[in-house]
Amino acid sequence: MIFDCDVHNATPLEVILDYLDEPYRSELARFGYRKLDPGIRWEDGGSRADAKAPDGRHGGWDPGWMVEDHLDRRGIAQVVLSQTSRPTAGIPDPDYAAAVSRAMNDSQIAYWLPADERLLTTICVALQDPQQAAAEVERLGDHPRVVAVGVFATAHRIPLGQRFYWPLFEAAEKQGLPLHLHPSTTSVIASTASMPTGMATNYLQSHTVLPQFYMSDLVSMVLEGVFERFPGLKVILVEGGISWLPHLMWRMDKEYLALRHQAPYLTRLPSDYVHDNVRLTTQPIEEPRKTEHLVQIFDMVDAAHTVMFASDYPHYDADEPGILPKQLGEETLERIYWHNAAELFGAKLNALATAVATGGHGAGSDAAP
Amino acid sequence: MSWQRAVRSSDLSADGDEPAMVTLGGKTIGVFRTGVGVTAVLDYCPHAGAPVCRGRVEGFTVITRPGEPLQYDSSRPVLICPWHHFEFFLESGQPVMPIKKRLKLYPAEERAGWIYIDL
Repeated sequence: MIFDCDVHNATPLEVILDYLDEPYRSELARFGYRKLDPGIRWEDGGSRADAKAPDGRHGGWDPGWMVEDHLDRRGIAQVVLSQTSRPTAGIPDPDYAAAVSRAMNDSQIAYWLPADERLLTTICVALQDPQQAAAEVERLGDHPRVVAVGVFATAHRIPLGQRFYWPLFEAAEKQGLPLHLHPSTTSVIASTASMPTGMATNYLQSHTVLPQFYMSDLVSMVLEGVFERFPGLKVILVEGGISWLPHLMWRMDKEYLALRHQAPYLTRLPSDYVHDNVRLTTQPIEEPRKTEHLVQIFDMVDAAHTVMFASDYPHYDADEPGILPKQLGEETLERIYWHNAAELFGAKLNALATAVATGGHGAGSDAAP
Repeated sequence: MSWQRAVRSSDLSADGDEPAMVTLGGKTIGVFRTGVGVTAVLDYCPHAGAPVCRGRVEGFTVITRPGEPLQYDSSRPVLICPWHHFEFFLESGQPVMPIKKRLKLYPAEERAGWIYIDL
């Protein structure tokens, strides 16, 4: 069984407009989305050439095609749709970002979820205004196929662990929705500092240093005491790789032991919070020259409990389900491919199963709320 | 040597981007026509098993010294895999990057309106 925790989809603007409040509906109909762009060619990432629908659009635009080309062809049992970040990430106006997020979420539920009951989704929120973000989590959090809160712009103006964001974290914890942090948009769209030290020259450099953003996010969240304040909050670090984590955990623990008074609210070692509250996804899996080195790193992060499979379909660097090394062992592989995600999203999956059994909200009957 | 008639010459696009696909002896093979002639490529990327012939053909962004101007050599076509964008020279199947994986190529010849492949 395969649980794919990162599949990208995009809803056509003309569909989103139907769900968008004024004055933004008229604005977007006339001008399109507002843009924040650090000058890196996003298309150098782009989509796999073979994931192309008959009408020429890539597989992330068409629900029916995605189901056929990805879920059916690869035997994927559950998918978390990640949406796309371009319309809102980093845009300065909080009301705009919140309104577009609501419209994206409503159209996501109406346009995508009826295509197949295996499709689950994130909802996007406006990090620019955590109060409105929390309201959006409360508005849609009970939907049985909404399983996570998409956080697009981890490189924001304020580091992610700070109190500014806590209303969002409180709402997500209350609804039992993990944060689904997606970094590729972090550096390419949401910040002109497309690498932590400045502006990257191109997509190659920007995408390579994504773990640096996650290192900063994680240091901020752990050492600001987010997981002490919201112990039920889970965070998924998507598309940032895995091999950097042992270093960060060891360094964070060592620094904390020497400077504990600067994080006096912690009751455990920083790495303990990472183990209990943070999950990572596999793609793009690191490919060292010696596979056993990757196997050792998976052991260092207790991958059997902390790592989940993600394909990143339909992007060019999407990983096939068979890409994980067999040396990880059957039990660990099964946990990465299925059980870790099934446990993380377990409450929602159980509710969904009940809803489907009773002819309710789950399979193919969704309307926009 | 096992030369087999594979595809009609007229099935090959002139610009090399679209291969003519054929299955011979259980192998799926893409036949490209580019500036370096006709090339028959096993539709299997040695990196992750992708259908490599569904990638795109571009010129070679030349390996230059740091600080030198970028050079683009359209006379050396490169097949770029649709997954992960690994690049291989169509002329030889050799990778552009310093790795040990290469494409499987088959000898191909054009005779009397047909492309023949040696399996």
